[in-house]
This record gives sequence, C-alpha cells and structure tokens, in this order.
Amino acid sequence: MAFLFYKITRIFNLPINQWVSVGFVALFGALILPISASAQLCSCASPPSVQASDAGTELAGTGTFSLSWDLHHIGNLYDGSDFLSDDDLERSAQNLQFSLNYGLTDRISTTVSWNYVEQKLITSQTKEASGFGDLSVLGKYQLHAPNFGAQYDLSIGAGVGIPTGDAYKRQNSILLQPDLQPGSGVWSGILWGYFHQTFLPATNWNLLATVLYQFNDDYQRFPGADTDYHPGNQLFARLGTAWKHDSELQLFFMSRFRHATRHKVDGNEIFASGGSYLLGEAGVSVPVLSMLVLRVSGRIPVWQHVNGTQPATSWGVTAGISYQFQLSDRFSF
Amino acid sequence: MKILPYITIAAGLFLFSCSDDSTSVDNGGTNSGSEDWSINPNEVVGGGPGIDGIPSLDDPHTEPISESDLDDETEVVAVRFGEDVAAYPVYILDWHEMVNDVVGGEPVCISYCPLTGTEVGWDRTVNGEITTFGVSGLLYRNNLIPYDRSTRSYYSQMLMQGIHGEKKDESLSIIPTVRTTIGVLREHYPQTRVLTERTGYARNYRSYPYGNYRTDNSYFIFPVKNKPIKSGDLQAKDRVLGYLNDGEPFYTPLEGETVQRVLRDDSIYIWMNSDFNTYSSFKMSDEINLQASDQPFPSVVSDSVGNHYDIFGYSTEEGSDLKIDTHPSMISYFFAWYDMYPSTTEK
Repeated sequence: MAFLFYKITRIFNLPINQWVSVGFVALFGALILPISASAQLCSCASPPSVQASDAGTELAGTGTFSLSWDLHHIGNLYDGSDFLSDDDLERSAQNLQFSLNYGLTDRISTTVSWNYVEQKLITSQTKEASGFGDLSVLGKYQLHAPNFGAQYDLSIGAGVGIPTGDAYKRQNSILLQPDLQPGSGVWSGILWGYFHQTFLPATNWNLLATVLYQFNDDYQRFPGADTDYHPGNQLFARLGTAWKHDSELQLFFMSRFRHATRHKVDGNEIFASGGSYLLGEAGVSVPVLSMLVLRVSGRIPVWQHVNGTQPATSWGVTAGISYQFQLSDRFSF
Repeated sequence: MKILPYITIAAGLFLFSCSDDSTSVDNGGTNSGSEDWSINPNEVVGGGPGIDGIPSLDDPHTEPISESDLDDETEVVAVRFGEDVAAYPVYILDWHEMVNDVVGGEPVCISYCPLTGTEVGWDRTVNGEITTFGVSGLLYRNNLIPYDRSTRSYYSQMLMQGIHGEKKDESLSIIPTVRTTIGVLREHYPQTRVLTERTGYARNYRSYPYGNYRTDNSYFIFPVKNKPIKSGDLQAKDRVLGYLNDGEPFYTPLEGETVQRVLRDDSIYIWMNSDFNTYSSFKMSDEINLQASDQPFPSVVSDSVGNHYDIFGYSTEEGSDLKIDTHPSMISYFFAWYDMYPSTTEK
C-alpha cells in the first residue's frame, strides 16, 4: 500500500507529506471504517460489488460515511432468457457494507469500501458461511463540476480490489464453492465513471448514471492443485432519475445492468457461468438530521440472459444510512 | 459532527459482535471432520449446487419404448431384471445424475456422473430398508458423490463404496448396467420402458449443460490429480470401458475403428460393439467358460454347452431362465478412469 502511494506521488509530482495524509485517510477507512467489496453470491447473480460507486466526488475536507445492509435473494432458475422454475433452490446473501468517500481536494476523492457478508444456500439442507469480504479502494477525479450554466457533474476514477476476504473456507473439511466464500480470492482492477445532471429551476428531477468495470486476476482456488481460477470480469451500469422534494426527501427510480463474463479454469470457460442482468430499482432517501440520510430501496429483475442454465436474482432490498462530515482543513489539500 | 464518533463506535461494536467468521451447515446428522473420510477430504470439492441442488429423480416417469419418439442413436443406461427392461437416456441423466427406480421388483439406483462420464447402478437397500439416493453436490476427483437418505452416508460412485458416514468403507451392492442405444432396445427388447422428460422439473433437456466439456480434451472444471501419461492415441475425453479384476483396475478403449472386440480374461469376458454402441462384461468361472456367440445379436456370448446369452446375461433361448452374471464395468472418460485408478493398465 505504501509503495502504491509512493508511486502515485511520483506520477502526480505531489509533496510526499500530503500523500502521507492520503494514506492515513485510506488506512483509516480500511481498518476502522470498513466498507464494501465483492462478496460473491453466485457466479451469475452477485450483488453489486462496489456500491460506493454510486456516489460522486466530495469537496475537499468533506466526506460521507455510509453503512448499508443489503439482502439479495436468488431463487429463479433460467436457461438463457427463459424462466424455468422458482422452487429448485434458494440462495441469499446479506451484506453489511461500509464505505467512506472523502474529498482530498475539490476534484479528487477517494472511496474505501469493505463489507461483512453472510452467504446462504438452501436446498434440502442449508449451508451458510460468513466473514469479511474484499476491500476496494477507488480514486475519483471530477472532470466537470456543476455550475449554473452546465448543471452536470462528471467524474472518472480507477481503483483496486484487494482480496482481504477468505476464499478458502471449509465445511466438514470440504472446501466450499466460490459463491459461498466471503472473499473472491483475486486482485482486481476497477474503472469507474459518474454523471449527474440537474435541471434547476425548471424541475426537481435529475439524472444519474454510473458505470464500473471490474477486471479480475487469477487465483489458485484449490490448495495443492496447480489450477488457475479466474472469476468473470464484471460491468455494472446504473441509469435513472431522482425527484427531490423541497424537504430534501428524494425518490429515485433506477435501472441496474450487470454483465459478467464466464469464469475460467486454466483458461477454459465454465459454460454455465456469467450472463447479463437488468434490474429495476425504486427507493427513497430521507434526511433525518442535518447531516444524516436514511435510504431504503428495493429491486426486482426486469430481464436477464444467463449462460447455460443458472439461478438468477428474484429480488433484493437495501437499507442504509449515510453521514456527511467535514474534517478540518488539515485533512484536505 | 458529534454524531460521527457514535456511528463509528456502533459500527465497530457490530463488527466485533459478528467477527467470528463462521461456516455452518445443517448436515442432517452427518458427522464432520477429516477423520470420518476414507479418502483424502482435501480432494473433495463442492461442485456448486449444494446437496440435492441437482435433483435426483425419485418417482421416475417411464413410457413404453414403442411410444418413445427418441432417435435410435440416443444413448442410454439400461437395466434388466427378468422381463422388465428399463432405459435411462444419458441426456436426462446429465441433469439429474441419480434415478431411484424399481425394475423387476428390485429397488435400484442408477447413477451417472457427467464430469467423468461414468454410470453405476446399485441396490437401494441400506441396513435392510429401502431408501433413496441423492446428489450430495460434492465431487471426488471430478466424480459424483451420492448419499443415501437413510444413513446420510456419502459414497464414491467410481470407487463403488462408502467414503463418509456410517457406511464408510462398505461396498455398494452393484446392479449390472449396460450402456447401449434406444435403437438396440427398440429392435430387440420391445418390452423396454424409457425414462421420459416428464420429470417434474423444468429443464432444457435437449441442451447439454456443460458446453464443450465432452469433446475439449483440455477442459477440466476441477483439478485432475493423476494426469494420464500418454497412452497410444488416447485423449483425455476419449471413452474407455473400465473394470476391476480382483481389485486390479483395467481399461479398454472404445474409440477408434473397433467394430467388435472381445476380451477374454481369466474371470472376465468383455463384449463391445461400436456398431451397436453397446458394451457389456460378464463373469467367468471354472463352470462358466464363455466364448463369442455364433448366433445373431442379441446373442453375444455362449457357454461351453451351447447356451447363448444377451448383453444382460440372460439366455436368448425361448423359455429358458438361464442367466450368467455380468461383471461390474463402466464407461468412463479416460482421464477420469486414470485419475481414480492411476495404477490401471490397458487391455
């Protein structure tokens, strides 16, 4: 991590003492305020891996701490785009997700995410496993800040997924399958984009779009066997609109798209893995105190195309709280 | 600003309260621990769907072969008890792996592992009671691990014995199966009943669930511990007929230009015919000395006194109730047979 920060300081030619502070904030976020990452639920229908990607950049010295709970349920069996059954098996994942989004400058922010995950597979018996998932660190740069003439916020970013979660959990001495492991086992690269447009004073409706691409490395899934396992790369895209009441209450309606490539074993694609998924989401966020916001949403599948025959999402709900804060000027640049 | 520390503390407390990373299972009473396995549990992997995630067929629906619209080339696993002949199409077994059935009054379980290409049948009687077998969702060296729903013991299909639980190290009571085709049964065994797609489960049976797994010799989903040393022209996914002779493993390649091949060992007689896509093996003894039948199919072997027998070991003489024992054997991908029995030799 220190080496990474050192390289960044060289690339941007910034004073080293500022980046010591950057590292401190990132480590603080990682160790004390853990957040989200990728806990796989199933090869085909995992929850969004970096929910903190939904947020844009912060102003210098300000930040948002988010704590959210997500329940993701998988129970529909599909063959390609054809629905087959909804009673063969049941999977669920609960994520307690932590994220810290902090503005280092008015244009540069960092987001650190971690989660605690509980995975459950219910057939004629129930298997479950839980633990901390992977850590993700994302750097964000604001290309355009909204102003009266051009009310849009455009940001891009890049980051890394760090395999902090356990990917080798066993049960009765038997190694569990990847979709029950809290961690993915792989390092991953993350590319990110964010767009937010308001139309004031004409309307309180606004437009939001985010995109995130996560590309994974390989790992040795089976201890003692020389077998490279590659979890499929994933593209997340989110497009929707929100309506903001004068009381700051917001209603939002989003479409969530996810595309996952097939997993690979020693370079060979696993046929029944990966696919494309489109979900519809509706929710509300309510300010409860001046800096505290509650958020609740639900989502259901609109369309999916899985590779081969696979289970797919039947529904999901998320509830969260976020707290906006401002640190002293010493923590901004 | 003052609320942030409280949120941090609350989150920290929650994390500590749930930081006992846990893994649990409702295992229905099956004991856990590596000492309870007769094989190395490090070589056992979860296939993904979980126990019964691949549903066994416990009330299989069959129809007379005369009413079946399956092509003659459709490959099946067949079982015969008396005049009752049952056929289980491999393309349905790909999706269910286990069929709990009754054939000729006998409670049988027909198992098929798509990843090793092996079929094994056995008696469903466990501790004197008839039970059913299911798919545990686990694999040992790529091979299916069934479990019985009476003692919840786990078995290795290819080893044909218990590997975990009460029935550990106990051999399954094997029921002879024959790999053949709908065409052979339709012509020579018109009494055959065939498993249908009316399974009670919604599946796209006409699509193969593992992509190009059957033909791609470099495609393995799980580790192969003992990779075969190149043996002639055999590739990993070529099929062999594997069998044990006094515990010693042998295999005979099925691929190639073989039309009919007979292997006559001291105690085993292997009959295979690639024109019929049919393979069977028989036990021999001092009293039963077999040779190739000079009668037309379905007679395949004859004994020293001139009795002729079919692929199931039943006499082909009209009205005769003579029967010879078949010897347990299984069709297998070459890599799978070698991985399970690395000391195997070719016959």
